[in-house]
Amino acid sequence: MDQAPRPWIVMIVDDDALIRSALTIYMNNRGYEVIGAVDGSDCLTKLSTVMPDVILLDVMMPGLDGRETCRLIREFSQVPIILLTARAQKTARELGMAAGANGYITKPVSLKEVEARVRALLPSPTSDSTNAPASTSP
Amino acid sequence: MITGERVPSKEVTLMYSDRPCDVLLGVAPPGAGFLLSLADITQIKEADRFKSDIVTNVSHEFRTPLAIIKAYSELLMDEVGAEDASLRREFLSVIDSETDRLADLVSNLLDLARLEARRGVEEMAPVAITDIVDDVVAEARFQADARNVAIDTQVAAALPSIMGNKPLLVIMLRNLLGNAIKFSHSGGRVEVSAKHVGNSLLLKVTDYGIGVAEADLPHLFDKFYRSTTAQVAGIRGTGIGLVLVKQAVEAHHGAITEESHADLGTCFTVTLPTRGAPPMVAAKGVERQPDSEFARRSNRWHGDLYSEHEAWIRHPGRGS
Repeated sequence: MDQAPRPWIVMIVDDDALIRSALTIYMNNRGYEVIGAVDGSDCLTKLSTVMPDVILLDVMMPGLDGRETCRLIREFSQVPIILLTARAQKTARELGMAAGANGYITKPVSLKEVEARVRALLPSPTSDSTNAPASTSP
Repeated sequence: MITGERVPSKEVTLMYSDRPCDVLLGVAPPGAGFLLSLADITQIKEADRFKSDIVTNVSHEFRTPLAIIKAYSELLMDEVGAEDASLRREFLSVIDSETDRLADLVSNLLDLARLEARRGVEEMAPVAITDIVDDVVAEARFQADARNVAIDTQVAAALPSIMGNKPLLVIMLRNLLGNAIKFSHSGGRVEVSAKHVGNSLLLKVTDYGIGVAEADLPHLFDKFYRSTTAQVAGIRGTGIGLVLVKQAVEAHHGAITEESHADLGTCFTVTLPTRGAPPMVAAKGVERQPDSEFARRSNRWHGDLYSEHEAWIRHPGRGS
């Protein structure tokens, strides 16, 4: 398997830099390419140049929030979207789904779970090759 | 109307000196003659609104640091890419500072709850502001050293003491100074000064740090509000500190003003009256006049209404 296909691209949209970098490190270690966006409008701007395979979208962000961003993305793309939120209420979940998200994860979330949920939404079910670590052990 | 019969009380909002005031209105015959009662329930209603604010905002405020602690612990336990020692140290320091943030959040919330619950009934005694400044500055040294920020204190000699509540004044200055240090650049300087001007004591806390954008200024004292400059700079906070400051200042019949410019720094000026301050109002609600039988009955009835209302707020729909 020398000629691996291009890595899966995940866009992480979260206003919290620490959450963004934890997810980036974890996903990078598993061979994903990560694009970070600091808020809804940053996400939309970046989507005009590159289309990721999955988007992880934080709901509570200043300015354009995750739900509204999700609705706007749905106007031009069916890219899988997982909403990340600190709210656990059922109504919040339903509103998220109404905005066209494919999944919903409540913070504090496990990185392992995020990766599993991302993997489940990737187009090809045989995506095991992307699970190889990006760096080799010493 | 039969003697002793009670007409259901009614909640109304009245304007008093341009401020909305929640009033519980009741009519009842206490035995001899009729009694019209007006109970000020503004504080109870405010406490109620405060509680719902807490529920909606606190879950988010708590979950964010929790999410970060959990994520970085997971990174530390991750078998992939776990061999880099400096990276591990970085993860640990993130966990450490987020734990501090949670601890701050808990103590700020407790301070806030205490202030909300006891608003207007804080005990006042003569306080030397010099002591407050010394205590708070000594306490802030550690935080300042860790951020490589110098604290410059200028307290005028022979300041008059003020009628104040020491714990509240400490909370006030601790938050102002804590913010000044937090928003300073490394190697920066903050100034704390106190002087006597006319009938007032002027307390100033100045920093030369990141400052506040103009658009954020009107919201500085809003609960859970975080300025955009702080968020962009990645400086953590709870959005409660300045709420505490404002309440502490108000409890002393003082005033607070701010001056801030993005990238230049921020200066808060607290003005506290040194004399001629109106005496602190005791618990609002029932005014005691134990000499008349009528007043005694009316007070008891007022008290019942008051506690009934409080019970109703705790369990809406029940009783009433």
